[in-house]
Amino acid sequence: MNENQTDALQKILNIIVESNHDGGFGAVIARAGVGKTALLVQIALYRLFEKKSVLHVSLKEPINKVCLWYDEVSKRIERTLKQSHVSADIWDTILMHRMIMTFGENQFNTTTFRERLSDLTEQGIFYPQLIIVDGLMVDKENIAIFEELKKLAKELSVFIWFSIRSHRHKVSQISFFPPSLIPVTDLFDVTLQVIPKADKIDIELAASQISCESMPKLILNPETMLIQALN
Amino acid sequence: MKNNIQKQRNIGISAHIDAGKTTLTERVLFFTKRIHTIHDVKGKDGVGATMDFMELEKERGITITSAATYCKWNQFEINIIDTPGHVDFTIEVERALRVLDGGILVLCAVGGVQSQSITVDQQMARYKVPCIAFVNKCDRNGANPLRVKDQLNHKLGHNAVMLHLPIGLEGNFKGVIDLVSMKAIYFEGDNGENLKITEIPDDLMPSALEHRETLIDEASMFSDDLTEAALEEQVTETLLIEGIRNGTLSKKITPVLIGSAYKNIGVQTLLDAVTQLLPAPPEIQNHAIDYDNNDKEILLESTPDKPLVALAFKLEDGPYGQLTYIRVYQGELNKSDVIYNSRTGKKVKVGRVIRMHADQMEDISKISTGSIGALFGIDCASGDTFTSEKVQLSMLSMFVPDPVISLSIKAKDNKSEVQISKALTRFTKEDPTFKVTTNSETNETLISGMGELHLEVYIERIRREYNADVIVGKPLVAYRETITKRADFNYTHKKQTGGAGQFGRVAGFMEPIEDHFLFTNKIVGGSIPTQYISSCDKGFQDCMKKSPVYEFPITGVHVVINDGASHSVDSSEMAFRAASIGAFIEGYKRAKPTILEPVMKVVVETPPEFQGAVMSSLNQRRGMIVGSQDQGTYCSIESRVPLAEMFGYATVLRSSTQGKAQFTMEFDSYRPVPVSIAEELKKELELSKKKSKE
Repeated sequence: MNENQTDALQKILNIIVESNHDGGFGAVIARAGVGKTALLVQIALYRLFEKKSVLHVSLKEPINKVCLWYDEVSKRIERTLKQSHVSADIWDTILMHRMIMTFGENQFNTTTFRERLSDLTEQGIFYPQLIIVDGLMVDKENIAIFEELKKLAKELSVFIWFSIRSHRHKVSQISFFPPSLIPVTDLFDVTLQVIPKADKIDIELAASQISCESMPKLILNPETMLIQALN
Repeated sequence: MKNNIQKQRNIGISAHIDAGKTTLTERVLFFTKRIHTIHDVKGKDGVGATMDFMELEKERGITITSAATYCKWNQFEINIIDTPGHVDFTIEVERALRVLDGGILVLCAVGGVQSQSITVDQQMARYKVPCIAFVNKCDRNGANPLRVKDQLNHKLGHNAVMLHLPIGLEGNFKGVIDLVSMKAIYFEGDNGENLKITEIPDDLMPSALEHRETLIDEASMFSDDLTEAALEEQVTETLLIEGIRNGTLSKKITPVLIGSAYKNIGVQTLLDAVTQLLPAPPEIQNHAIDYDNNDKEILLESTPDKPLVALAFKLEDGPYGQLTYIRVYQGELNKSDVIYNSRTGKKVKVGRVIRMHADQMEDISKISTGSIGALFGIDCASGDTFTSEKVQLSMLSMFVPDPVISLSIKAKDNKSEVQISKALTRFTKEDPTFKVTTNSETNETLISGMGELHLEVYIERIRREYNADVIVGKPLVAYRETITKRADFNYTHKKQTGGAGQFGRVAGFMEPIEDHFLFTNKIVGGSIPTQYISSCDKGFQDCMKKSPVYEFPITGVHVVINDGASHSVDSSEMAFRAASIGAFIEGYKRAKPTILEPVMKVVVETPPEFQGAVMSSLNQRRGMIVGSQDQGTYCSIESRVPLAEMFGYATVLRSSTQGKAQFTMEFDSYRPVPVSIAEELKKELELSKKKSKE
């Protein structure tokens, strides 16, 4: 990955996250298997490289599988950067600043999540500066959860990224949201839609509250599944 | 042994520690007339429960080995395995479940579903063992069997239905209501041996009717006849039992019975349920791997006419030699038969065939299909399959967890050394989770097992059964050292103090690498003659064994030599070896050495309410928490913790989680120790040096 590529994502992340200190919401929207988790893990890794604490909440995969995602994506970044290996110090930084929480299907609710979070923060074990929520299903029952999480994001002043699964013909024209999530569209500050094309995967940025002028055009490299800027 | 396989049951009794398994087994033996007096676990009469025959078991009031016993109830032959409740003896539970057809999950009416119940339930699920639940201790204060039934549903995901309801509870617990026959059963007589069956008291009738309706609803899912009968309101006992049985065998229903083994209430009704609801051997599918047929899984048939397939599931070394517990899955095993051990291919002649009753034995002529017995004088390993023909059949292997804790042991005298060696050979053969290794660095014997109690029991057995004096050391942490930066060296070894002189100069550099050690020769122009290069290599390798700084073994060093000097007379292999040692010490001190410690992957399973306490306990031990996995009824916390901080953790975890959490530990990697710890280690080293000098 050349500087141009790393800069592009970091620039966007900085703008998005820095301008939403009081609890912003971001969504990565894509169909199943297109690269939502890969994209979220990259977002997390870039914050981790900056020694920011990231809480990765997975509602579909166990801890070891989430760890594998981080291993795999960081290896791809290494290869792209043409470094032989991420130095032990950097890897230590990643491990020290990353916390994974996984919940079984239908086990996730905000009350439990708050309890788990306070277990960590009250004892000074971990204070998240960015939260990734991967696998929260988009249905009417979960709308209350999104609203509750927004409150939590504001309380903790953290930015929360979600993966949102869309369906081929069911994407609304408004901010790419699946129709069932339209009632909570206002909660989101930025959405990244991942759209597979013939030879590349486009990342369409839609930010309702953020000025995205001068943003570079982004794509997901289909070989490495890493984000890169299109010159 | 009569051969009515439909009237045979192989059952296990599993539960959380102290739920009362052994007491229940004792009562079962009493009511089936195998014993004539009742002795209690840790009883005042000093006899102890019949099944806890090991001295240590009687003393501690825990079951260590799973004893097998046999009894008869209403013309049914029942083989019972009483299994330990403590997590450290989990292999005994695994072994028992491997050969059982059905299980009784004993739960405490006060404690409900406890952590070990979760483990036992997972083990039962792994071996697809159908089970019934027995809520024991209903006479205790705080007993609530209905709450336990709800916990079975919520915490273990069972579909538990009440088969019995209590008549009174706690100190007022008098008997049970049978929801199948809709009768009240009271247990009268000195030992509750006389059953008095009456009508259900009026005040309990509404509750009984309500629970019976639920029972019929659930059971009718597994019997069309019952569904029809229920619609026509003509449910008979036979139809209802058939429905419940079908549900139980398919593991879709868990019938819940209640009682108090200690007060002799509900034991006979439990035995009835065992015969009515748990499977006969032919109702369970058992498979073997056919090595002659591309490792194909073949279904075994529980008939005496087929060739013999039997599994040795447990070995015990007794005063008369090795006793092999065996379960016959297909065919029959007769005295004087010639059988084959399919693992070794060796022929074995069957000598004595016996049936075990705790530590008593009874000679029998054969072990029938589906039954459990024991053989004397058969040399085999635990898990071996025996067949009647020379066929390559093997029963599927047992799940053997890796040991998690080690201790160093030492004999006090020579006599004890021989005894310890004998004991260790026996224990490793009997228990696959007990391992013995030698620490090559310290030359100490290390015993490894599933927990502190597990090892404690073995040490105690060495002391008592082998009369050996054992010194138990602290578990040792194998520290390492490595370098963190490149450093140059240029060392001259010169000795000219009489006799033959010694001269050699070695120059070059060392740098960190991922491998253990690498030596590169970049000498050009013969500044060090070729014949001395290997001596240099040896000299450097010698240094890797013990660091000049903290005296731990070194790892991860690449040594490059690129210059040097020699003397035509005084240079020798010995001189260059000494020069290399000097060069290494010089370079090593400049290369910023650091101590590495083994870091373990520690996974704690705990009920969610203790998650905070567990995380805190790991954090206090310099642990790095990787993540937590919420499973609803329990959660697992994964972390990386230095081994040095993990000693005594089992006790800490138990006390901070009311004994409800358990942990597993395995080696993960070597990581640098923090500076403060390194300083402490240095001080300790200096102190031990001083002591050894004194």
